[in-house]
This record gives sequence, structure tokens and C-alpha cells, in this order.
Amino acid sequence: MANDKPTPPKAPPTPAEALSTAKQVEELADKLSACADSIHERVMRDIRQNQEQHRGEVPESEQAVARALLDAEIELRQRANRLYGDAAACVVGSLGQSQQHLVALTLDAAEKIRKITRIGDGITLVARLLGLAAAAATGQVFPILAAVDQLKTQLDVIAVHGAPPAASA
Amino acid sequence: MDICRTFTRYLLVLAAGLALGACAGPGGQVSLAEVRQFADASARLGGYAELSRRYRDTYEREQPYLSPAADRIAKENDARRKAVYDDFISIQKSLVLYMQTLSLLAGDARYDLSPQLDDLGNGLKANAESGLQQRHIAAYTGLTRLLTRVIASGYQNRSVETMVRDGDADVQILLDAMTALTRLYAKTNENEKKTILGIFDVEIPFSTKNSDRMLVTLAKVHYMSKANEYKLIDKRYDAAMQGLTKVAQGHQKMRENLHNLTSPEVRALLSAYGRDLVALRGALSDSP
Repeated sequence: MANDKPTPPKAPPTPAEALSTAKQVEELADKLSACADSIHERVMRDIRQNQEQHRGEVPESEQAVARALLDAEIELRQRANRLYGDAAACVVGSLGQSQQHLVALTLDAAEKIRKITRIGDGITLVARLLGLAAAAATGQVFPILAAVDQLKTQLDVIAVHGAPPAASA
Repeated sequence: MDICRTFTRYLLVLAAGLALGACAGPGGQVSLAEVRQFADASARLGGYAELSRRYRDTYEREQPYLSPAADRIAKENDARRKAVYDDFISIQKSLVLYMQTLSLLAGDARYDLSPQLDDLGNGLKANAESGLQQRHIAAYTGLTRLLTRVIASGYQNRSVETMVRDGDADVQILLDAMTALTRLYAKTNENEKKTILGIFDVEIPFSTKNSDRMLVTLAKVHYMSKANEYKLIDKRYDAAMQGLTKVAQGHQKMRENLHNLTSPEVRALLSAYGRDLVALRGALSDSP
């Protein structure tokens, strides 16, 4: 903590910094892609469960949820691809050290998505995640911090809400 | 007359020296066939250019599958990819020219490479959006300068040895950049694949009405052909990255053995790299 040297946001990056930033941007994009994968797995699991319970039919309401999540998943993939593009173009933002933090949060989010008992509960979480991904693309610190806060709150809510996952059917 | 003959002889000696490179080592048998073979194979290694194009054209393929919200972001991504495409290609062009020049130095043929050099002259835009880090741009500039010197001087006083020595650092940096870019292409492609196939994963189970049967059949056929397309393309990313690694390793070995290029071990090593590259080129030239 104490030895963290904050990078001045406007200073032109040295080659080494530029490289590490590109790597970090890529890493964040990897995590967003992984979140999208988690969403997809959850949606597919719910579809199969519904099919078993309803003789092959998925109820309309569940279909709507699945489609909303699919849309979110695809948007997340576009956000990730945007960051891959940024990494490729090495458009160096002012994210610096906060990137580590972002990566940790998205990792946490992916974990939660996997564990949520009902996928419908994940919609708000996924929305927050999308907000974060959108903010990361701006490369501006304030929107990112706001989005990080929202995602963190949402992750806490879910932690309480879904605490004993073993109990629910 | 005498002067003329002396001069001619001098030229012949010089030409021989050039053809043999600086490898006229103490007593050893002189052959740079393996260097030439390796450089040729490196210059002809496919994959990167094609995969760069594929990366540039991502939006064309994914557009029909996107929701309006995703489409908005995708369009921005598309514009960004197109803006930097030329720079991604420039790196490869300079590397190819370098390998062609190296191959010429290691052989005895003479070609005019200046048109390619002019082509490179346009160079990189080198601004914030240029798509490359400063060290990549510096490497590109350095290599172009080296090639200009070598080609403009008519190969005089240049040998394989000096070229490899002067070029290695920049060659490695550019190969590094190409490898990183190929990896990012692959990851972008992965998201494209999962977007397109994912829609069918979700929608096919929802279409259970009798009237949907034809639609579902068509969807399944489309899914299979897309899945197959991506399976083939995935292999190409792997092959391209392997190829870049081989080129980097081969060149590094030459750098490490500058004064030893004619030794049997180095020759065997280089010829193995050359063979690997030819094999990879075969894998990359099968159309997807």
C-alpha cells in the first residue's frame, strides 16, 4: 500500500509502461470474456433445467430472461473486443494501477454468476458488470470508480442473498 | 588496361566475399544454404497478413447477429480496427523485406529490392492511434534504415553476419509485436465465435413449435458450418503464432552463432527451423 507509487495520469508512458498497460488491458478484456462465458453457461444450464421440468418447453418468461442475459453476454463480448482493440492499438489510458483492482472485481463477479441459484437474480449483477465494462472503455477514472462502487455493492448484496446455495432446489 | 584488370579482379573478389558472406571462417566449408533456406521460409511464412485481414473484417461477419445495443459498440470497434490495420501490415512488410534481403546476402543471386523499400517508405503513422508502441515503431524505423543502407549500398561491405548482428534486436521486437497482435486477433475471434454460436445455443431450444421445424433445421445446418469454420480458423492462429516463434528462435540462434554459421550443428539447427517453417506454411496455406 505505502509503496504504491501512483502513476501521474498525463505523463507519456515509457515503453515498459506502455507494454504493461497493454498487457493489463488485455487481462481485463480476458476477464470480461470469462464473465460472458459464465453468463452463457448459466443461461444454458437454466434452459436445460427448464426443459426437464416442462417437458422440453421453456416457459415464455424464462425465455425472456435468457434472451436478456444473452444480449448482455454479447454486449460484454463487444466490450471485451473493444479492450482487445485498445490493447492492440495500445491506446494508453490513465487506468494504471486501478486495473489490478478491476481485474479482481470482475473475477469476483464471474464467480458469483456461476454460483447464483436462479439466473434471473443475476440480471442486476450483469447490468452492473456491463456498466463497469462501458466505463473501462472510456479510460476515465471517475466513471470507472462509480461503476466499481456499484458493482461492489451488488456483489455484496448477492453474497448475503445467495449465502446458502445448497438449500435451494 | 592493367588498372582495369586489377579492378575487375578486385570486384570479383568482392563479389565472392559477398556471396560467401563473412562465413569464410577459418578453414571451414563455406555454405550459407541453410541461412538462405531459413530466411526464405521466414519471408514466405503466411498467416499473419491473412489473420490481420480477418481481424479487420470482424464486423462484417458478426453484424447480422448483433442486437442494436451491441451493434453500436461493434461499429466503433470496427472503425478502430480499420484505423490501425495498415500499421499492423507494415510491420510484417518490413520483416519480410528483411528476410528477403538476408536470403539474398546468403545466396549469390541479385535482385532489385528498391521497389519494396519504397513501399515501406510510407511507413507508420506513429501517432497515438497508430496501433504500435514506441519501441515497435523504433524497431520498424531501425530495420527500415538498416535495409535502406544494405540495399542502397548494393550489398557492399555487408554480409550476413553484420546484417544479422545489426538487425536482431529490431527483428525480435517486431516479431514480438506480431505475436502479441496475433494473440489479440485470436481472442477477438473467440468472442466472435461465441457470440454467433451462442445465439443458436439459446434460440434453438426455444423453437419447439411444429411450424418451427424447417427453421430449426436450417439453423442447425448453419450452426454446423459456422462451428466448422471456427474450428479451422482456430488452428491457423496457433500455426501462425508457432511460426512467429520459430522465426524468432531461428534468428536468435544465428545471432548467437554469428561467427559459427557454417558449423554442422548450427547448420542442422537452422535447417530444422527452415523445415518447420515450411511445414507450418503448408498448414497455413490450406484455405479455411
